[in-house]
Amino acid sequence: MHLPGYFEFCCPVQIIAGHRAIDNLPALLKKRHVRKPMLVTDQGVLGARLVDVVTAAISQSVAIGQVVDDIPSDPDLETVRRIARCYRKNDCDGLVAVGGGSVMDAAKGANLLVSEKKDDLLWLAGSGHLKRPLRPLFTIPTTAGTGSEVTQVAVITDHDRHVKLPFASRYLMPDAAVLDSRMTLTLPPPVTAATAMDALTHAIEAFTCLAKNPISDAHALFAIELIRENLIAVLNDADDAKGRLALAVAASLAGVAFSNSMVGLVHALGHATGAVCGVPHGNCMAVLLPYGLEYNMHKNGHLTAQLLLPLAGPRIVAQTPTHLRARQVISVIRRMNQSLHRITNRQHARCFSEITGADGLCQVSIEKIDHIADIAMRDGALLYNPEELDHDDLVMVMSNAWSGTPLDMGRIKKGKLQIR
Amino acid sequence: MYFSEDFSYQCPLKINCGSYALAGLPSELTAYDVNHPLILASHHQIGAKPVQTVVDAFRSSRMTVAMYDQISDQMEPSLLPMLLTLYQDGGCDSLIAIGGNAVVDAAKCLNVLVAVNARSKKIGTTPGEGGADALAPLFLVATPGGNGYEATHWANDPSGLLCAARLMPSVAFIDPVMMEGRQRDVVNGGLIGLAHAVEAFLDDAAGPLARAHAHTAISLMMHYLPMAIGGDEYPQSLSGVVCGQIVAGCAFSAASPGVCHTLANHLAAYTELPKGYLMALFLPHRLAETSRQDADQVGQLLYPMLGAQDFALTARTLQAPRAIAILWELYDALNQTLTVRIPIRLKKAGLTDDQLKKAQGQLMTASADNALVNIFSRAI
Repeated sequence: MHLPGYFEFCCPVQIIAGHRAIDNLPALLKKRHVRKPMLVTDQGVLGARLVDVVTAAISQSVAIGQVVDDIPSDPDLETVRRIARCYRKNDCDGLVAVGGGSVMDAAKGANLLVSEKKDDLLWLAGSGHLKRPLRPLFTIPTTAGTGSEVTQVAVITDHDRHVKLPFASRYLMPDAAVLDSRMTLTLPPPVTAATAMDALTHAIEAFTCLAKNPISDAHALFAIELIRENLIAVLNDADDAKGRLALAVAASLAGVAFSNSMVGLVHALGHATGAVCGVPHGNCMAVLLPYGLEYNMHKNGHLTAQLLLPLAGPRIVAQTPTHLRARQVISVIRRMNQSLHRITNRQHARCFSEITGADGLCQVSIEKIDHIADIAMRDGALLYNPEELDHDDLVMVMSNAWSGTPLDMGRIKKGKLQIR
Repeated sequence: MYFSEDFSYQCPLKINCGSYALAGLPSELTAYDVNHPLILASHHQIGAKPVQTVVDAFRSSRMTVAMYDQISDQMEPSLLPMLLTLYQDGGCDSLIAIGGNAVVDAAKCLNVLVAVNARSKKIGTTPGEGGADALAPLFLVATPGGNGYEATHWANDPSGLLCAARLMPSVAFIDPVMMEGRQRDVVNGGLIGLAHAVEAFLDDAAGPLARAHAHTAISLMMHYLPMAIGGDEYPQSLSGVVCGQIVAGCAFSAASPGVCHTLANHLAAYTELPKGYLMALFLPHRLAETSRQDADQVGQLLYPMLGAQDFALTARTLQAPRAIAILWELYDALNQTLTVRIPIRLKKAGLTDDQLKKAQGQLMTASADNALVNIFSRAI
């Protein structure tokens, strides 16, 4: 086992999980002296009546200051400013985010503004700007998931510049994350699949990229195992509450992992594709994951190989020669995507050419690949990727991910940096 | 993978581990908006050099530090009031504990005393912004003399045992420059950490996050403890052991005190053998007893102990016996170089037949848990 030269690990978020975990919310609010929380959610969650579960649990003990229920996917700077204005106007003293990654990122961004008493998020972008705790924030994920309920990062879109702005600080971590199986029971199969692949990607990139450490590794391995054991079962039985809870826990484990060890190529390209083409993050991750592993295999194949056990089980590991295990991991992921594609009636995409918009046209057009590569080149996640990439490398990966063909290993650049 | 469908987990401790970790001490204090720490240490336990190393970390900062390095192994009743006066008169706003055991217990208890004292003076009463009952930041500089308890939410005070989530330190620094220790202390601390990690791993109610910490701790211990005793890559391997202890402490905080912990405490009155040695003695027997009900659960330990390949290639029915055998092999390997060896039986630990009978009798009276008695009997 390798101990890195230096690493840090931190996750002070209180994680409460259970089939009625939301019943603990009043006590959590009281503990942090929150009497007038603002609820932040989106129309999908509202329509599924999941917010009703939350309000029923807390309305006896607190006065809900305001419910903001129109957070868009990929929240932007103006959305965050609007939430902050609403918070101040209603004299709220805490935030409860009920939703997926977009809602949580918006809540985190708003928390930044109200706590720092600012109107402009731009000067807070990046890391190291926050010096003190923010207002209390509680997260109740309704997907499984982005892991945002436990991470120290938030991503807000700047539509003007077509970039996704990352914000990173341990103060962004919520006070508590409440994982309640009722919150994901109504999640449609394509969303269940995409968000689970998002969690899987977090875990895999946390384990295989440069900033890994022993503690985040263990969280990543457990996340992968829980996803392997429960994803297909949940897609075949939407009412499988235990499976839903397991996937929610997996997403949080993966969130803890990548929050403490960062991500790499898959996220760099995924962020860019989402910013340029509006493709949901989970779909980008599912498509790009095998390509990221392929691209990096000559550098970190020995790490990728270790993922075969949680991903496929001991029998497959025993049957696979050591030098083929990394390749087998990539094959397992491609087969997983294939299974998800079939179970969701082809709504889960295996490559970018299969992702269509409301107009029926391909959402990621070939003409945009160059621009996506430009944006990805500026993504900080690339710093943690085991192999270097230039613009042409990114175009190559995106082109293959678009058509669904494996990478030509002979065309992959092999840099000099050695990985232990 | 089994996981509890109803759990709560929180670990507020931040771990900074590796070369030049101590260089980050001033900036971590700044992040908590404090700048006048009281450093607590035990000069006779760790010597002057490690204490000076910590003080030197503040040289280029503009912080002033207070220090008390005369803490003895047993906390005297007069210690805490004296430290409280030192803390308050010195205008301190945080604590740094170097090492483990009595030093960290003193730091945690002092922290409570400071908060209680502040509450009685109605200082800082704004709710939600660290009111009067909030504890000051406590920073831990880990050394091989610890055993993982320093990272938990437990503290021994003169009158009993305290337990509260807020007792956990804010940040733990594991720096190779602090890694010098006596062999017996290193092994004792390492074995306590290993036993805690294994018992937390087997505690289903603790939840998967505690289990992830336990998995990490077991892997670190199995890999680095033999190296540390054997003198291989000394600072690095000791850092691995200490990191494993700290992470085991995080897992242990979320789990119920395990069988080995309980039995070792029970026998403490009868022997001078270090607690870690006692816990290590009971551990294989505990696993054997547990595998009678759930061999798969014990077999899962093989994964952190040996890694993915060996776990996958071991037949399922052989995983639990192999995990137990690995422990015995570890003790054998350690005993090759230890001056005080890890006993494999209670009779070989220096306890007389009368003492064993008495201890067993007390156990049978006090405990309704047959498994506890069975494990004790196996270990005789």
